[in-house]
Amino acid sequence: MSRHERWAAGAVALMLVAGAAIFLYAPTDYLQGPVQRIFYLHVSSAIAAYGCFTVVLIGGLVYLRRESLVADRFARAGAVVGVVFTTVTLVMGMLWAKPIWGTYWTWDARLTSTLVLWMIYAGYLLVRRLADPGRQAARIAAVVGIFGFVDVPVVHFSVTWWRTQHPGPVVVNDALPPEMLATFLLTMACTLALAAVLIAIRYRIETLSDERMHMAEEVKVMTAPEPRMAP
Amino acid sequence: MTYLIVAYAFAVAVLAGFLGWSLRRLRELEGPTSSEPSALSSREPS
Repeated sequence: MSRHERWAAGAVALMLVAGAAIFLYAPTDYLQGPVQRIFYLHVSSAIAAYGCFTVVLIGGLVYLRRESLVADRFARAGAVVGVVFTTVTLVMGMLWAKPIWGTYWTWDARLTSTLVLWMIYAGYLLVRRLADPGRQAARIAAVVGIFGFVDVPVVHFSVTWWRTQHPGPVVVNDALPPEMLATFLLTMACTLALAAVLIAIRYRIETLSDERMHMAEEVKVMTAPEPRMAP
Repeated sequence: MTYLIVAYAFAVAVLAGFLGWSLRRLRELEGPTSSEPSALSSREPS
């Protein structure tokens, strides 16, 4: 078993512990019933996505300053993992909204800004996929990643800046009973650990892909026919 | 209850699927590359 596979097994074990806390330890909400348990992973995934997009921001800034390949690879890894966690956040939120609000979707500030966040970083990944690899693509993607991060505080503070159907912050307002708070903090820690492991795995994939690409380019140059001299 | 089960089933499928796919891709990339060294060695100067 490789180092990355051991980390992955550890992250899966942590998520199983979080799952046990969510379904066996946390009390059932008096008003919403069992569906409120969606909260634990829904919010944790959103926070993990913020963390991943912070990696994209820092990676982009460092790349633009130093043209560091390491920073660019971290940015690529953070973007793909962040999009996965944002997808989980959005879909879990929709499945929670249906029984509570009576609709899967409403165009309120929190939901709309989160969808925009997903689209920005899906666009980032599209730029990386469609553009020819190299400095130009990395620079454009770094700019998208840096400006895209502006939406992260908009998503986070949307519930306090505007009147939204989405509930406001419950953790910082001491609105959770101790068992629910403990379950939430545990789930958040385990989800952040999973996000870190996923970024580490994706970073390794990006590194090996770059090495393969360089190796293939070298082979192409070495096997290309030598230009003939004019008589 | 149905929404809770569907929500967690979706989350597990996406996160576990992404983790499994990433590990498989990593294993592919870390595996031996048989064609490239031979291509390089064929261009060794004689």
